[in-house]
Amino acid sequence: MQSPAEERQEVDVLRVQSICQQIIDNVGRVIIGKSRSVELMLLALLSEGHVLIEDVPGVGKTILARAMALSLGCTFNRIQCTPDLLPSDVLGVSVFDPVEREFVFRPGPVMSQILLADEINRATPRTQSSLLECMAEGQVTVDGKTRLLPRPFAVIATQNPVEYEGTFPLPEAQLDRFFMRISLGYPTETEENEILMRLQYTHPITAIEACADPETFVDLQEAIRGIYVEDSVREYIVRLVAGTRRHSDVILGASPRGSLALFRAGQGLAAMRGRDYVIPDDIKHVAIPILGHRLILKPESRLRGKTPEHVVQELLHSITVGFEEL
Amino acid sequence: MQYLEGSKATLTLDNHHRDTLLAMAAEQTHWLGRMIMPLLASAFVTSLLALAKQYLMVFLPETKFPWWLLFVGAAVALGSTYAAGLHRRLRTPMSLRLGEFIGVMVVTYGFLRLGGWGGAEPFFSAVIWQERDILTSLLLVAAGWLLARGYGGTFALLGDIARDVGDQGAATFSWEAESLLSDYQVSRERARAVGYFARRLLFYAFLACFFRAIAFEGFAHRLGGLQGWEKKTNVATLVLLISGMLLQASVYLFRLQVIWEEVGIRVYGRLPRQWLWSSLVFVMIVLVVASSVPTVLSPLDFSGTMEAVGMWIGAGLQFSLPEQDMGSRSAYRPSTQIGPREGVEPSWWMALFYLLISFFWVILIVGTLLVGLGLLLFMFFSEEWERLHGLVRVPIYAYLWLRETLQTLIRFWRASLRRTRVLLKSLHIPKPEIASGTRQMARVSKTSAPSAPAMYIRHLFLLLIDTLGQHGMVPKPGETALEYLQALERKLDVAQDELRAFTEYYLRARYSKDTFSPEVRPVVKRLWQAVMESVGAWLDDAGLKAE
Repeated sequence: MQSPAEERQEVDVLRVQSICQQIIDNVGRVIIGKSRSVELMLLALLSEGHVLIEDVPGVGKTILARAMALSLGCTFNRIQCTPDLLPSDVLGVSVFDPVEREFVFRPGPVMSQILLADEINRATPRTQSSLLECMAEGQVTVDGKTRLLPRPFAVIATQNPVEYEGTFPLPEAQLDRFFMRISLGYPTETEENEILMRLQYTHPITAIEACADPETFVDLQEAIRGIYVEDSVREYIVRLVAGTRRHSDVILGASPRGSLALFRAGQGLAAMRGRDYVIPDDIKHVAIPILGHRLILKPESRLRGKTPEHVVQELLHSITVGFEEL
Repeated sequence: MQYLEGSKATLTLDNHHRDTLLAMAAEQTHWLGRMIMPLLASAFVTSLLALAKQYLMVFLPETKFPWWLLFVGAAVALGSTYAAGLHRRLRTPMSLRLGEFIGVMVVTYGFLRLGGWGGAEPFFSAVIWQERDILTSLLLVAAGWLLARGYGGTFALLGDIARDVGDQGAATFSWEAESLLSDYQVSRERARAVGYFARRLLFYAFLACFFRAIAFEGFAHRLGGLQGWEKKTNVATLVLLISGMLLQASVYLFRLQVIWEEVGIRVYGRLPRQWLWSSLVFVMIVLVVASSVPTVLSPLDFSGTMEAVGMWIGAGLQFSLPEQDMGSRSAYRPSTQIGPREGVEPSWWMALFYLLISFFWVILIVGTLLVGLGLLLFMFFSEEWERLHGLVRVPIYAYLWLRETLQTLIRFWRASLRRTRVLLKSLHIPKPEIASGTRQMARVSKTSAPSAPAMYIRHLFLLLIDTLGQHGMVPKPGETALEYLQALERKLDVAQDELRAFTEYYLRARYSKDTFSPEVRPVVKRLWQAVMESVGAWLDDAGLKAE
């Protein structure tokens, strides 16, 4: 008897690869020289995940999110998070209509396909946690009524790692709901030169057009679930995540949600590279952006200058992949 | 409060800070945080001071204490509890805290001198510091101040954490987990603020039992001369246990209170009182049960219990401690003379040896002093030690280094024990031929070529890494097959296309569920032969090929 995974239809990986490449090229017209970050963000969206972009101001975090939304043809809303932002400003609120003499629900910016939460760590924990339900379950509950969010739905949040004054760092419960954390980094001198040239007259984002539609993208999201993951690759994921829990520098390791994210990202990356099976290299490629933000290090390790990325890197070097055994 | 915590500003009493102080005072609206917890902490610390005084009377019988010492200790502890929260919230300068400590010490010293301690010596006389009575009393008050400081600081953190993660904590009712998980630049101590009180209680209760056992076993003859010693010690122990347990109950209650307020849940006025009352009843029940069990089994009679256990074991639990008579010479004085003996020819080797020994001793003594000082500073400044001046941090670094080294050694020791156990097990239990179904699938025969094309490709790959492995190119622990082959590709000058194609075939054979057609077999074999020839040529060039 075949397992449910085997019963699935064959995945048209070439179609996935072709559409993804078009999207990456399209976004690449706006975001110069950051193809890895663009690829990772697309991978997260393809895996039905949410993305946290953490970087210094002015490197193109917001533009990347907008360009991605435009390329996917999705509806896009933006929230500028501030300490006085309320949950109702995000989710929506019921207001009294004096003509109809009833309460009418005014949807908030969350009712979109791509939601950009800019500088999310400036919002209070209460507002941050109002995003929990929609991120985890794709629905919002306001006034006791649950409303489904459109598909595809993704939250792209940005935060600035330098400033701490007046910020509320995201709690682990919320960080864990982000599929991956990426950063763009400063461009090289050549790339910066190119940016200046392209932006001399108009911003290229004004000319960007959709190269996919939401329905197609949802199809792709469902298709990648059929990508084959061999036993040893699955075991590798489990060992990697278990390794984060046992590591001597870590107080809190990655959750099972982390394992699932690695699994899905492996499938997505394999499809984006035109394969219908996952290899351990796919997992290694995405391990740091997926696991990095899920680990909490011991204070003494942080004092020594260790970062979660170092820990994941150590694990990637030490945990055996287990290909052929002699 | 998060804003205040993060602020680098230090206290200058301008209008802004006065407003902040008033706002903070207004925030402390609940009687648990405002009054009950500091009072309980003060009672706990005072009971500890009382116990310390009682045991010092046994171990150092010549020492005299003023009758009012405990009252001063209690007042200092109460003041320190309140002050610690203010210091932490306002991030006051270190000098102000040191000033407070010095002030407390000077006032206590003043009381001692007024009470006649120190005789006719001038007020600030160096000779006074040789007076054991004065020194011991001052140390006790200092210890009380320091202990209460820890409690006060933790109370401040309790409110802060609850306010920071209040709604999430209330949503999940797992406030400790949320505070542990959240990254509010918290240390483990802060994250475990609630457990802090239980751990302290258990630790000091253990110390009380331990010293009680030593007093009864080793100094029983002195106890006879101390009128009412046992009664007073029992009362102090009871106060320690009751205040410690009530403090823990209050902390939980306070936590709930803050969370409820934060999320706007209406707190019924009488509920916290009922909870506190029921916890008091619970504590009393525990104590009554503990007191009513037979003496030898009562947790309140540690030495009796230990003696009974010793009797049951068979040999009894009897150990004698050396008589600590300060008047006579110690029986343990070493008879050996340090340094080379008279009449022995001096030797450079011996001199070097003594130099090394001396060096070792100096390092040991200086290191111990540094670590001790570091521990004190670490306790004193708690999580704010990073604000200290660079040079003052050195002892703390020494302490942290030693702590971490010891932890690492313990980890090694545990790991070696675990591995030894596994090794011993493997010696006794015959190993199964095949560990699991998965492994069976992963194993490919090296000697005979399988008939299935996929397994054949894997067999060829195995032969390739076997050949390379014989020349030291074994795959690294975390290396994937692709990384291994890419590393090989960089080394080989020829047959790169063949190697790339072979790699593709191998990855598909290993990780996909594709079934290859039999026609693939000769194609892959050709690729593999080209790769092997290239590998052989490369090994020849590198002079690595085995003769």
